[in-house]
Amino acid sequence: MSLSINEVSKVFGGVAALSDVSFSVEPGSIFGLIGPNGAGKTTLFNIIAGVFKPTKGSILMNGRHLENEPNYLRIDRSIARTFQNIRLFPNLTVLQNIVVGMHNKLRCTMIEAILRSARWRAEESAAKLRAMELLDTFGLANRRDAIAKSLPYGEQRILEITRALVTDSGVLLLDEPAAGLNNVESARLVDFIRMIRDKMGRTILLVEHDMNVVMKVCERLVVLDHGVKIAEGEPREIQKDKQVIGAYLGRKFADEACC
Amino acid sequence: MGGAKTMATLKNARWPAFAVAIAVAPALGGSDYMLHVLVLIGLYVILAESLNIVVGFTGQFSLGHAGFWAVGSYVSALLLIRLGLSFWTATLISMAAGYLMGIVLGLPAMRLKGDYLCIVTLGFGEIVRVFATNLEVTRGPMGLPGIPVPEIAGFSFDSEKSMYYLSWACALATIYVAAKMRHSRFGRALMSVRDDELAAVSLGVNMTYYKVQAFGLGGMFAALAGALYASWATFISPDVFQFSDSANIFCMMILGGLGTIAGPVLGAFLLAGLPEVLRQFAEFRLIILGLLMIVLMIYRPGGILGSYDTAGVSVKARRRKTNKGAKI
Repeated sequence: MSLSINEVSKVFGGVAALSDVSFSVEPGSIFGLIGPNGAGKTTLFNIIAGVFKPTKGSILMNGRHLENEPNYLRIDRSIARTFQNIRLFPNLTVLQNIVVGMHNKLRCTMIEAILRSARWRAEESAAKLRAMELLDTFGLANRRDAIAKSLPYGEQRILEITRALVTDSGVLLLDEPAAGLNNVESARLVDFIRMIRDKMGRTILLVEHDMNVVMKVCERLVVLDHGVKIAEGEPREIQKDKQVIGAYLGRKFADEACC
Repeated sequence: MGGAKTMATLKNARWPAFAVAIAVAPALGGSDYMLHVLVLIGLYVILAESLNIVVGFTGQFSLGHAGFWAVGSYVSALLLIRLGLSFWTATLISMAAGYLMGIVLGLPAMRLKGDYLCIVTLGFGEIVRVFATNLEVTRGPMGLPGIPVPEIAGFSFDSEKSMYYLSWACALATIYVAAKMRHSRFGRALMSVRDDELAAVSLGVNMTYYKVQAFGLGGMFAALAGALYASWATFISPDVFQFSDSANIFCMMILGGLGTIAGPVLGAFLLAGLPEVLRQFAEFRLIILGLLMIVLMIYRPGGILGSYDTAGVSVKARRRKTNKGAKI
């Protein structure tokens, strides 16, 4: 499950949102993508997730080029994502939300569903069982029949991540998972992300503003500023990096802090 | 617990009960006029339920549903008159034509949303009518008279009663398909596209495919209603398939409950049945109907059966705390 980003550039009109960004995400790592506002994090994230095509450069997953593939095939390439402003299916139940996540794994056609074939019944009950298993793990089992939009914000966030997990994708892209969460909830989120990696063996790439969460959970970071990669390394190295401090706080602070 | 169980049993029994009621209704007496109205309601059930696949399940506004109805009617009528095919073959071919027409409309429509989609589908309905008015093969505004009635093994569906059973068998089949579809991979994909396109795509749902298929299936069932209509009325002309019919079908679906299964059925009964009941009020009936519509939309914006929400799981089922019988 190795994901690598090679010299990716993206130009919107006359604005260069990204220029020649390269890095690779080690299998089984928790990888963070940070940078000040307007650094191009979300653009890069959307290119990896298939929403935009890069102007130049390539995205490789296990050696396979993804940059020109349509968006919906990312799941087949083992890449799942969540969204910054939670995107559930608001009118469907919690259980239905999860089962839509199994879309690429279910095989029965509509004809079989209408005829209620044995294969369809077996597939549906297996899907339900698997969904309930995951909901149980993440403490949402008693919410099974609730309409998704009626859940509190924190649970919606967990549900969205669970829905991405049920796809069994090796790489999980999390777009600002801590956005809008309070301190207690973000502490739970950190445990949650660690558990997904440790117990389920997923690779995680996250974009995040909350430095507390980033420094706690990420093992490796890439810092973007004005569309350029300015640093890459472990959180401890990044915290001391002069260019990074400069990008966040201004060069004057960087000089004082480092030398 | 006992109460909840009884509720569940009642809920499971409501469609079989409805089918039985439909089956015995003619035996209770009633004039040919009443049966005639009930046939019409049955056809509207098919139309409203098929539009519901496009609008209620998939969230694509369509104001041209009468266009598919017309396609089904004309294709079936022409096959019957010109080629002398049997009603059943002609119906299957006209359903295929409705499906293809839906795909053709769905292809440009998949790039459009909301108001723009409304205008394109409205245009589609009008184009079909204009073609029917101007083509030679459809005899233009003079219409097609003398469409043969359905026949099977020597039995001819020439009475209102026989057509009643035929149209309601088709209507019940349509309801069944729509209800089962909603709890399948296919139906869930449609609803996921309705609720959030980007999220659906991120989970591997090929949005384009499902949007186009929804139009295709909607068109297919509307064409079934068309084929039945042609052989029932034995005469069709472009005037039958007006924009007002598209709007009427749309209102049935909204009034009953968008995205629900029972909603379009109830809507068809109300909007096709009430004008007949209110006939004694002559020209006031449309005003009464309009007022009723406004009041209902203020007090129940989700439609009369809107409490049976669009997930296909009733409010009561969600309150139940047992671990059995969850629907997906």
